Amino acid sequence: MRWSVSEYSKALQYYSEYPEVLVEATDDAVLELIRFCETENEKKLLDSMMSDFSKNILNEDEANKYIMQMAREIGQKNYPRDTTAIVAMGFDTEVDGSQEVLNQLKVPLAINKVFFKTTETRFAFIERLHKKGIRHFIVVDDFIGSGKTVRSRYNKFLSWGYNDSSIDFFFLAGMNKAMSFCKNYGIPAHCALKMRKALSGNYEREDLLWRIRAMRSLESKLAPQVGDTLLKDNNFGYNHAEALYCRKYGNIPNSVFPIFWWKQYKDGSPRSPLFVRVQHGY
Amino acid sequence: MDINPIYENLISDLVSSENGLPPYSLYQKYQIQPSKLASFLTELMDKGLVRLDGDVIVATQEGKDAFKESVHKSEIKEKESSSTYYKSIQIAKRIKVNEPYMPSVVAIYNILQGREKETSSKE
Repeated sequence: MRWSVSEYSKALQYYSEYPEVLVEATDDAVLELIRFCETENEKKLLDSMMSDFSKNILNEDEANKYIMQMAREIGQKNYPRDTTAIVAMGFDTEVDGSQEVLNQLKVPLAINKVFFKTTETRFAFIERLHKKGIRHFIVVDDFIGSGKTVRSRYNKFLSWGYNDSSIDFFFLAGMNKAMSFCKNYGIPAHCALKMRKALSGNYEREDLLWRIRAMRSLESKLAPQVGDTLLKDNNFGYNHAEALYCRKYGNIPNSVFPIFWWKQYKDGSPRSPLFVRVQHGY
Repeated sequence: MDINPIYENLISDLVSSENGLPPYSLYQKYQIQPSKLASFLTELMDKGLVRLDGDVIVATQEGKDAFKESVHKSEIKEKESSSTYYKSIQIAKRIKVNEPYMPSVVAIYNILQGREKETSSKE
């Protein structure tokens, strides 16, 4: 693809100022995104989002810092060693970020002298653990976007009817709104890195309105469906999470605005997004 | 300072340009993609060798000195390696230094005989 003067200058600015955001991106993807923003407001919106996004790309050191914080918070709960298990939030057989965090927590927990009976890689294994005498379940995941997945897990736990057991959810990162949602629903949830919604959490009135309009206009240029995944479920991020967050070289959460990861244009032609999302049915 | 050979021409342009160069001109001339140019410029700026003057890349005095030295070194290297004379001399069987060597009388006789034949046939 051939660059114009302004496109080249904009790309150079992005690469120089926000290299963390473009760590997975090809030059073609950057050019496509620059061309994708046609109006002045769309261009302004992209500029401000790139700046905000760059603050929330977690590199390994930063992620370790928050994982250590998770470990300390878990330790402060003083769960009994012999009847407590740490469980990844992933439910089905697909590997996800919850198992990654579970594994990464093992050493920080040991450093904080926090030891438990066992770790389990599937939420569904809780039933089996309960039969073995485990009564306290610490469920971990890498990200909480809207709180809906946590609610469904919590409801599942309640449906098992364990009157003698407790459950707590711990997240590496997540949205403030999702944490409020959990609190209102009575779900015991904790999050190491809490973030505000990128648009409605940071702007008001006219400043917010033009941004919403510009984002709607941008999302209207994307394919309404890719595989089994519907754009309408992911407008402004899954369940309108409005997240701008990703772990460096990690799988971008669907809570992030789809303009950064949606892989088809409205006409069905392929699109090179800045981030690659790996998801069953997408 | 070691510089990737790909960027030597680009640096040479920067050093020879008094008022600096806009990045796009480097793209037009060398087809260098923005990701590559950005990481290259970041490295040079971190070392204080170039700076951005508005939208123009300018080599600093420190940069000019470092680049000149680097270009000079690469010229010397090129001169040293440009002659192929010695490389073209191939000795099939070398003898080591101070290794005893006995010339073959038969071989010398044959060579001399051959020369004699050549001179007599020419006459």
